[in-house]
Amino acid sequence: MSEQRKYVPALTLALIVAVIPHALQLPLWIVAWCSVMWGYLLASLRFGWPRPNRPVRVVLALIGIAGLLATYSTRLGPEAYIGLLAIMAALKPFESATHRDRMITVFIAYFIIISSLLQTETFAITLYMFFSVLVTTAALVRVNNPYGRYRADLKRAGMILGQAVPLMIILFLLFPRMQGSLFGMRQTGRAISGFSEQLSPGSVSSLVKSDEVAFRALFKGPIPPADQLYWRGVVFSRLKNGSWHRPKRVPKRGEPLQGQDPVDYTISIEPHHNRWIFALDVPARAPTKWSSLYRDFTVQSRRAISRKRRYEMRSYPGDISGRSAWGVDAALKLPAEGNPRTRKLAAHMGRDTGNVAQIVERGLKYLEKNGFVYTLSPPLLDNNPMDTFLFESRQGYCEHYASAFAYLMRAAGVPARIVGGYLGGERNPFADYLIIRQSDAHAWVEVWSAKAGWTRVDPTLAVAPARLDRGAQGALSPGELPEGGAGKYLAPFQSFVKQLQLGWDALSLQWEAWFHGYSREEQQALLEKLGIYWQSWKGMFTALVFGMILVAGITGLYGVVQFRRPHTRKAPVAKYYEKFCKKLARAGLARPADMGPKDYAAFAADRRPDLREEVKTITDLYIRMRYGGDTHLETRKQFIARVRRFKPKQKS
Amino acid sequence: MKNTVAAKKTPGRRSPANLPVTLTRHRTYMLPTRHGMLFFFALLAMLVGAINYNNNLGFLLVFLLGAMALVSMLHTHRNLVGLRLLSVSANPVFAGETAVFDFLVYSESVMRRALVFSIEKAHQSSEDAAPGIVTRIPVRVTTRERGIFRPGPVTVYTRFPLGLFYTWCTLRMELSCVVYPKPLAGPFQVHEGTADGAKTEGSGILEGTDDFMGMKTYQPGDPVRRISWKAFSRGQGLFTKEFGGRGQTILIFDYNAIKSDDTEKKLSRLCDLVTKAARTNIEYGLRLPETFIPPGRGEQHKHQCLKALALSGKKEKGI
Repeated sequence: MSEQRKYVPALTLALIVAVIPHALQLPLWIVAWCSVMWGYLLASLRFGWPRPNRPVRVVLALIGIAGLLATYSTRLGPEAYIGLLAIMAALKPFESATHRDRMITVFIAYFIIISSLLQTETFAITLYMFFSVLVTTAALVRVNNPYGRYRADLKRAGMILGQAVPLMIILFLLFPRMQGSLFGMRQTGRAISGFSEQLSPGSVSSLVKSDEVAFRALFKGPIPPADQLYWRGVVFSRLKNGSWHRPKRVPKRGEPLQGQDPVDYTISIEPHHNRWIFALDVPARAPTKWSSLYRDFTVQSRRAISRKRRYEMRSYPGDISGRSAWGVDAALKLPAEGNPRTRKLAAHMGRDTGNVAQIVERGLKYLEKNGFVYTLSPPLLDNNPMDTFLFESRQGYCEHYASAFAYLMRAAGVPARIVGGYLGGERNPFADYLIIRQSDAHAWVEVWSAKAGWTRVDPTLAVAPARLDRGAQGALSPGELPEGGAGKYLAPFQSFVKQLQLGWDALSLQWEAWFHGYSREEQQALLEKLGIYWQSWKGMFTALVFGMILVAGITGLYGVVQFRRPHTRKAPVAKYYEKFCKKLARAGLARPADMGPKDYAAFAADRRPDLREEVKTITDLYIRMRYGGDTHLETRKQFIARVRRFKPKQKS
Repeated sequence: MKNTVAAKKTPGRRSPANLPVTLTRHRTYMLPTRHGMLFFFALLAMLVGAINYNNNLGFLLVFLLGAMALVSMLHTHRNLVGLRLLSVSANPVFAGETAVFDFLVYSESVMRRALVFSIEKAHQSSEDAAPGIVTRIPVRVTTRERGIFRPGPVTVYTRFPLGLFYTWCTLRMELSCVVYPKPLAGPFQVHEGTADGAKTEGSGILEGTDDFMGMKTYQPGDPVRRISWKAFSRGQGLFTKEFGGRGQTILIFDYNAIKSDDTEKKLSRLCDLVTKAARTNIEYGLRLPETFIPPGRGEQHKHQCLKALALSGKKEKGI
């Protein structure tokens, strides 16, 4: 029983800390399962309740696995694996009678920690990883140190952790990285909000309520003005059944775009499980080998983006040279019928001119003058949606405006398509970069003219000009966006909290920019600075040997430091006793090698009765501390003071 | 204080260590434990995972854990190396009992945790040794037969702090513990009246049962024969009748007087007699085939007798 009490709380704590990062992704019943098991276990230690014996544990494990199969029957992927780990982790501490059981429990905790890292890679989880490794290692120390106290175990674990960090850094920097993966990857993760392959009324406005970060952009130069911060993502040019689609096949563009006033920046994109890479309108080229620039000026990754990624991008927010006419034909297609009033309006707009700029101007003016309202909750549109929107409801969000405007332009004979992406972003003053959130999602229109090529037109701005520099929050009427329940009470602290959030975000970005970006290329660059070139096997080998020597060297250094210490830092008690012996020796009473302290005291007192009292006191103190286990500071102080004062004069 | 016995570095068989001895680097060895190997393979699996997912955070954790294992090796080493064994002693026991070897160890300035002293692979609990004081570490070994028990080498080991590495030092030491024969219970009187009645030391019988001197309260070990059953039947409790002979009562336990063919049985009987006699105030002596111990009393005398019994017929003569 006492054995259990010694180890089980530490082991359970380690498992709890390891499972916490998974709690959000695990099905609720597993979280409940873990809580009940651990709660019962800890309570049973406290109150002496019976603990399940082996058959009961086996039955519980089977129930857990059955539940797991019921939950994940169709997709036995990494999530099911984590579920299994959690179920085992909940039961394992009940089984901790032997040293082996306890060690295995600790190893399970380590496994749970690493599986949490494969899911998310934020700065916060990195810090949390160190914390949970510390707690788990303290449990490991406890398992191997039956008499210690938990705080001492924690301290020891911290010491080992601290000493391991320099070695970890070296190994991290020098361990050869590969490109690609060994066995191919299983994509994991939940669906995250973002753009999909189609745009229909409501698909942008549903994003706006989310505060999630879509990506961050760090500019080499100054941040461009607000009217240039259009982040291009997807181009929708096929209108079908009332919604806009991305064409099935968009050819890749071989050569990069050319233009004036390039803007260079770095995008660090959050996983969104689609292939879009967002770039400032218009991106010049694909940022990596695994992505391509398409002829509709969008950039896509070859694989869905399921992890944080960083891209070095270049864009031309101003003019681009070379008028790509790709997609012009498709941008004129309209269904054969429907929306008669819109068609009539379009015909009226294009009645006397073929000038694209003039038609666009008229279209925007129409939206401006007719009492359109920018709102997140427009009424539903019936079977002639453009007619209803343009002539009756006149309420909508950016996708309604973009959609109606593109329709109108096409009906008037102007090639038009919709671009989905983001507009604006929040500037982080701590590191001068933009945070683009889902709430910045936006849709606008591009029209084509032979003179200017594809030109951006944002019909939303005709209705809500504030959208440009005050964001969706500023453009919508108050109360349309949820403020968050705690907002009211936190109002006095809000700006402070906001500052904290931005500071943390800046720190995370700095970390992630370096940390996640550290790959084969960065490693090569670093090693080349050190004079190691490892394009070849020879270079790789050199790097490995170099790393090993460094690790061995540092480890050896620790060893040397540790083994020097006992000699330099002798126990003060012994040191002062030696001093005492030396003083007596100078007085002609050298201590024979085989004489114990007690005998020596008698011997000295016999020769020098005048010193008897002092010698006896000092010797008694010494014996009390050294052999009697008296560790009081006072005793030690008194002993040292007496030895210092002790002055046996030479007997003449 | 300064009489450190330097470890003699001889290849092959080491000469037995003389106490006090310091567990130096040259005497200690280290290997990963089974769990250490398991941990290593788990790390390898994690590393493959990190490579596969090209996950830098995974790399970071794998290297952190690997580096911690490496550092823990130093901690394990340091937990053992430099420990001083000052002395070891063991009190005599009867055969079949557990001998306790008390090791006195001293650690200069390092807190040493979870040290295990093991003799003949016997399972032992671990002990801590605080710096600056002498710590007593008892090690228990079960004895089997009488004689001088000289157990095999002592292994001092530790797996602290992470249990991934095992460092040990095996010392061939002159450990010894006197093991008395196992007492064989029987009547206190062995032989009633020899032919040669005049010879007082002829057998283990009581001499001079002539004069009744009085009564004393019964002590365990008092001869049953002398219990005053009359007093007992009156409900007055147990009393022993005391007799005065020619002054002192002297007993001589004679090996040859015990009727048995089995030497060990004889010695066990004698052992029983000696321990019982030692509980009374009687002077007793012991006659063995090879030695005669004149009558005496006290702990020292008892030990001398029992030790003679332990060594009877053995080649060894004392420790």
